[in-house]
Amino acid sequence: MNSLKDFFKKHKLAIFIVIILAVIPFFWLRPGELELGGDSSRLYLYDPLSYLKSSSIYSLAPDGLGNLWMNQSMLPFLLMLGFIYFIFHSPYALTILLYSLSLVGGFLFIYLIILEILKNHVKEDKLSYVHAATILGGLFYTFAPSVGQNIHFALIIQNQVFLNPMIFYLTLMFLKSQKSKYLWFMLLTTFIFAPNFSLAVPALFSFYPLAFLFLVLYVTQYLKKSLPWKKLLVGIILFLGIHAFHILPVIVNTFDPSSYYNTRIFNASSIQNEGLNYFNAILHYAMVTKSFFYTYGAPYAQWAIFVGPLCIILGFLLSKAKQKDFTLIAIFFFITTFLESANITHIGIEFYRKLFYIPGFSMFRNFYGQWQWVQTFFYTLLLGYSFFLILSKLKRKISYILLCLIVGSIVVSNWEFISGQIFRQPHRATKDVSTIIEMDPHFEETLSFFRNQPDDGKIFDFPFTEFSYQVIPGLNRGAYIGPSPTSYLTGRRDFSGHQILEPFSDTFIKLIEEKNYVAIKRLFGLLNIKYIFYITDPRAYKEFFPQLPYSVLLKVLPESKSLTDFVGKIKGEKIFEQGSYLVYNSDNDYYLPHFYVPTSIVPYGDKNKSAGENVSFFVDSKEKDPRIGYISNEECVRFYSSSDCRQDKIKINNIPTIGFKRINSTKYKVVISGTNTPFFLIFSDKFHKDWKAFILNSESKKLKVQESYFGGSVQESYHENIFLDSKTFETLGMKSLPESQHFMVNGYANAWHITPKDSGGKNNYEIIIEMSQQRIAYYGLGISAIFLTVFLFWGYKILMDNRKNRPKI
Amino acid sequence: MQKKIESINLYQLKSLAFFKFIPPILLILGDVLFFQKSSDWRTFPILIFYVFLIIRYKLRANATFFICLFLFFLIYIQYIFSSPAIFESQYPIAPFGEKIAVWLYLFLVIGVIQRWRE
Repeated sequence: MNSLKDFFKKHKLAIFIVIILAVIPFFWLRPGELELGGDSSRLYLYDPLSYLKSSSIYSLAPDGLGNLWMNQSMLPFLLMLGFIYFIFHSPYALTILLYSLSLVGGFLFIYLIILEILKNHVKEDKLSYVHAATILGGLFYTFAPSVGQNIHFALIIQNQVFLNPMIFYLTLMFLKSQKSKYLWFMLLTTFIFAPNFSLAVPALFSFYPLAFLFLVLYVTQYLKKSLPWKKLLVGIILFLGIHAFHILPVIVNTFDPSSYYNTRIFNASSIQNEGLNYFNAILHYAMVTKSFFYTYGAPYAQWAIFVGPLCIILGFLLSKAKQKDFTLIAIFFFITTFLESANITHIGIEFYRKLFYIPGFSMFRNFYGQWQWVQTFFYTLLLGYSFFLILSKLKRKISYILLCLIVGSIVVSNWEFISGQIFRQPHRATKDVSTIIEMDPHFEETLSFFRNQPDDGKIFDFPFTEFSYQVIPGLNRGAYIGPSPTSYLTGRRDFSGHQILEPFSDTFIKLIEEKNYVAIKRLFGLLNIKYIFYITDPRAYKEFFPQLPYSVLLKVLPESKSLTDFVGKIKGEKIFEQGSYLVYNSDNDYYLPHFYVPTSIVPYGDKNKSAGENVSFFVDSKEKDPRIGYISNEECVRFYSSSDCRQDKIKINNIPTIGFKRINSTKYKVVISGTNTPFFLIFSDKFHKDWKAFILNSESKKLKVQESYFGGSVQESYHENIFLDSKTFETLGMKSLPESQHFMVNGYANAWHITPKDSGGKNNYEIIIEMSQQRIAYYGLGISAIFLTVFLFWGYKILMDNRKNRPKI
Repeated sequence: MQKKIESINLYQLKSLAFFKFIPPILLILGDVLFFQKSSDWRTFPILIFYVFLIIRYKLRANATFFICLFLFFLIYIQYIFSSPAIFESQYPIAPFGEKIAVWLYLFLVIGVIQRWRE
């Protein structure tokens, strides 16, 4: 009890600041306001569990055609958010709590780190100087631009603001004391905030290797202590084990030669084009000045930016050669400043360019963005130490006056962040549309509507943006602009922007320009688009957004009215309306369900091959039955004679009846009946070699039909979303259809050529279509579950040992 | 009398030490004021010249840090008297303060190496 009192007495000022920092974010947003947009959005704060279901448990992107993606690392974090959401039931509360955690965590752990480093240098009577310096260091870090500027449109890695100092502190304490409890808490933190420890995140590689190198040097060279190698090894094994659920899928994907990660890491032309050329293009934006003078760019605060660099230079002047820890921090400050600014001599730039040939280094192509947090961290350590060197030369009273002045200048120079003005900025190139949004309840009802639809059809969103974004206007003069809430919060795929519609995006715009509505309907059919979602509010289009993010669509549909007219030409029947949110069916005559068997094959060649592939093969089709499989001439000759492939179309007779059901987004069951000839089965998800088809030996069971198409020859069943059950691994050990029978159709989709031989002559049977990469995610989860159990038992043992060793009163 | 002469000599020596900083500072100012683009063909010879001065006159790390302080004031003056926009990009030419900042970085590195050796 006394020790607790002592602690509060010693750190009362720091505790007071912690309370202030925890309260500050409540002034940034008013209740009901949200700030969710940006490249990766924070839709997980709006509805954590819906976000989790749609984006983190399966290895497929929730939007568009269903690209392979690895987002499993979000799982523990989203579960934690889900739990907090369950208590408060408010995205506002969740947002503010996360902001508070960033500020408090950042300050507290910087405070503790600097305290831990400096307390070696002073006796008890001079500890007040150390406390003053640590508080200044903590405040400087907490309000630094790398923290504040990025909090607006924050990426998930923004949590590194407090995670970096927290893990650093726990590791420092572990290496110094060799007590397992620090290691255990460190591992627990990495598990909960696993998105920051994903192998796909540059932040992991920018901070932790340098931080651990620093700590090893500090402990072994300065403190002259040996490292606890055995415990470190246990820690590394446990880390890999509990993180297997996201590390394993990323590693497997990285070594798949067809994957994006593999190309980015190992392909020389990708390193040159996407890495080095990008680096060269943004090089002139990086400035050494920015690395020394931290500023939010507010003209009234320009004068106050001198504190950091001036105090560091004074710190150097006052430092002694024997203060080797100061020199060590300085070396890491120089390294990180070089990495962040890049523009230090031409030899330095050339050296930097050479680094890109290290596999994986091109993840730092946006070098300023990736290294800024690390630079701020070491800058703060150096500054905290310098504050101490300066203050300890002064009389106590003068040092307190100086402390107040420095706090004042930190507050003034960072006022834009502290006051929350940084959030109150309009979206770029819009008519003062705020990034802060009050969510329209009608939109929430629309999301519910989509969630409750029993079928598996996709959605097309209007207005259609030029990126992969969706725009949702708020009740206020604000809008959400970011990844589509329609897909991320409903688990239903949609097409919200130009990038998502690849490879058909340019063709789509051209068809609008040509007013070729039939071809657009045909395209929607090929893409399995069942719903057209139209936000009629003019504030969602040109009225508020004269340029971005509609530059492309505005060229062909320059007014809200022309957009409405266009939607009127392609829509089917209206099925939902709430406020300005309308949902129509797409034209039923062209709709193709998720699975279908084509009645004709249309071979296509290199016509219109300007962009490297023919993506307008469907435009001139005259066929009334939309069940067409468009296949390239090269694929066609694998199944038909050359003369057949030269025809306009190849008719297929005696096609089977099929029924299909989604088990989850990576696994479907298809029931085939009445077949005795070869046929093609088309699955309208993005082609990937790891989509596998398994023909089951068991008797086929009839599916309960919720909707029939084409006179009952395609039947859609009631879908499920089963993540794990007794049948999850039913295809394990089974032989899939050979890859030679799996090919791309319709310019993007999967097709299998299935013959009676494949089914062993059976006329009725079941096929399981499965994304085999999902298995890796299951294996990873299994490994993590085992290690997590061990880890928790170890934590329990540490707790018991601590209790035993506690002195009895 | 003897003491007075010694103190004058010491004062003169200190004044002379101050003059040792003038050539590198003039060279740095010449580099940033007279040339639009930086060049390693100027940067490294100036650095080597300064290292020569350190060895020749046994300059302490603090001497280097005083030069850093001077460079810092130059950057600060430009910073507060100009629009923040000029520090947004080095295109088409880097601002005066940015070129000085590179020199500040390099001199801090030299100073820390000196301190390490002390």
